[in-house]
Amino acid sequence: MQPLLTLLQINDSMFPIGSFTHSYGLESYVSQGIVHDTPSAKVYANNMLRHSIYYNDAAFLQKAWALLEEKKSVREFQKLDELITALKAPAEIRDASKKLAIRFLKLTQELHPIKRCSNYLAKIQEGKLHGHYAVAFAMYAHGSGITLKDALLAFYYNTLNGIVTNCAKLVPIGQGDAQKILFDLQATIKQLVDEQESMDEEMVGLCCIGQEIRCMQHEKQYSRLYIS
Amino acid sequence: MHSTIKVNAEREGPLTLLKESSHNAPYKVIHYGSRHLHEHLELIMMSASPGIMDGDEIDIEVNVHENAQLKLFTQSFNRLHPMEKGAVQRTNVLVKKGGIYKFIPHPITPFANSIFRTVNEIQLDETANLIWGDIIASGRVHSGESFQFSRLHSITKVYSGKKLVLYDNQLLEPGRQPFDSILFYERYTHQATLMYVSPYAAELKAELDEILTTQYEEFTFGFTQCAPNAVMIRAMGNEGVMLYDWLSAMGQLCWEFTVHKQEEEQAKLDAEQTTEPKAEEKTAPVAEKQTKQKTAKRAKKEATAKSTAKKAKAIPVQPVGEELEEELAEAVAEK
Repeated sequence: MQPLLTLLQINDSMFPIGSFTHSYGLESYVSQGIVHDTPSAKVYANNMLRHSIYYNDAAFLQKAWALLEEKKSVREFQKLDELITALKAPAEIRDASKKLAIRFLKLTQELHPIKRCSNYLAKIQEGKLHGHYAVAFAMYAHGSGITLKDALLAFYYNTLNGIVTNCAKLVPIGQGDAQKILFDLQATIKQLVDEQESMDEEMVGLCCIGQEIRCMQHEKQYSRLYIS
Repeated sequence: MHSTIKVNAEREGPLTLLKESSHNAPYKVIHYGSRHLHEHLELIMMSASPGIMDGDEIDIEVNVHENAQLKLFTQSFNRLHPMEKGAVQRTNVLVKKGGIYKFIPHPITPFANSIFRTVNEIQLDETANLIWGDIIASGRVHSGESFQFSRLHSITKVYSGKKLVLYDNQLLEPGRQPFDSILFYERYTHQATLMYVSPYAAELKAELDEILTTQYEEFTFGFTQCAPNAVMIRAMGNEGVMLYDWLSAMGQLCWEFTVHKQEEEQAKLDAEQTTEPKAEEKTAPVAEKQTKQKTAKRAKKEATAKSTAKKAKAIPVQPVGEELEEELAEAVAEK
């Protein structure tokens, strides 16, 4: 198994786990005219990375990684799973994390089974754990010999790739502009990854109030292309 | 200055009474209006101080015992004065079997340079009901003081049956976040959150789906089923009083809904106990007439209400009594 190639494959936006069906609130922002052009799309993308992903999904990935490194018991993973579930208040966002986790775990098990991943999938299917994508990703990447730094860099990159792709479809912005945002935020991603491990415990799961409201409003949006 | 507030609400017959409460200066907890007005307990927390000062530490403990019903009110906006060290508030809430606790305080107004940390730990029995709100203003907006405070960290953890079900981690640090930007307050100055944690949460969500169908001009809101037994409403607006009134009306709606549901269940239990169980009824065999049996059965019944609630979500129109429908409509109209 080639770690880099595995990382490129599981992190590909075309990896068929259904991530392209989620906008994580962006669809509400666009329909309400808040994200409406390239500059506002860039602000949205930058704020998402710095204020939402950094304290949430990327932090969950890092926390799961730390548990894996320390060979912590199943109980500790259960606590982390509960914590993430309790933090993800908007129902669509919570469900998105679960759906992606299940499809990611099923698919990767067919490629190269990793025991911890099959256990996690079984627990989710039994209803004992909720299941979250960031944790599933951490488990598989860790078991594939990928480093935490690379896993985080790739995770941020693909999240941002999803954001700009959705912006290109929804706002819409030009494909070139979308790629420019992706490229221009490289330094931000690098900085966030470097600081990830030193995050204070109480900063994990910080809420962005506007983002949460827009995600909740998406449940009631009249016409929509995305599940979240 | 270190202050403590302790409230114990206990049920005696149809009444909820205040027992073993204590407080020290500058705080005071007294009955809100006449104590004979309601069967439930209404208390108001008052303070002789103009607000929270630098170095203040406040410990609040609220215990709502079995089947007790408590509404705790605040007197005025919670003003956070300019600080150097900062102030801390710790709140511990315990709501036992079948209890209801409602607390929707006035907005927190952080003045320039204030530093505040508030941690709320709420333990609920699986059959307990919580109606919990919080509103945060960006400052003394009308004096042109918006997002001038240093740091405000509000952590709320809700446990149901020892399991963490809700964790709201709100850090507002104007140096750290772009508050007027996307993901944050956009053009607004206030944020509001209401949590309803209850075995009846899924049923209430179905009601809200019917009631909250349009947005208001003055503020924007969203609501969601944030856990199998919890509903969350969040809003952003420009008027603290308006958000407070709206959140209070929504909280009152949750209260009426809970009380109504509990009474409905109690009536069913009473009917079952007085009539002989028929063979075709699928209910569990009724045991000997022991008084203790009643509480055990009630708990069981309330636990199964959860699964009933889940199923009920699929039904478009809820079988709610006309009386309650009217009350709900009134509560919304009051807005």
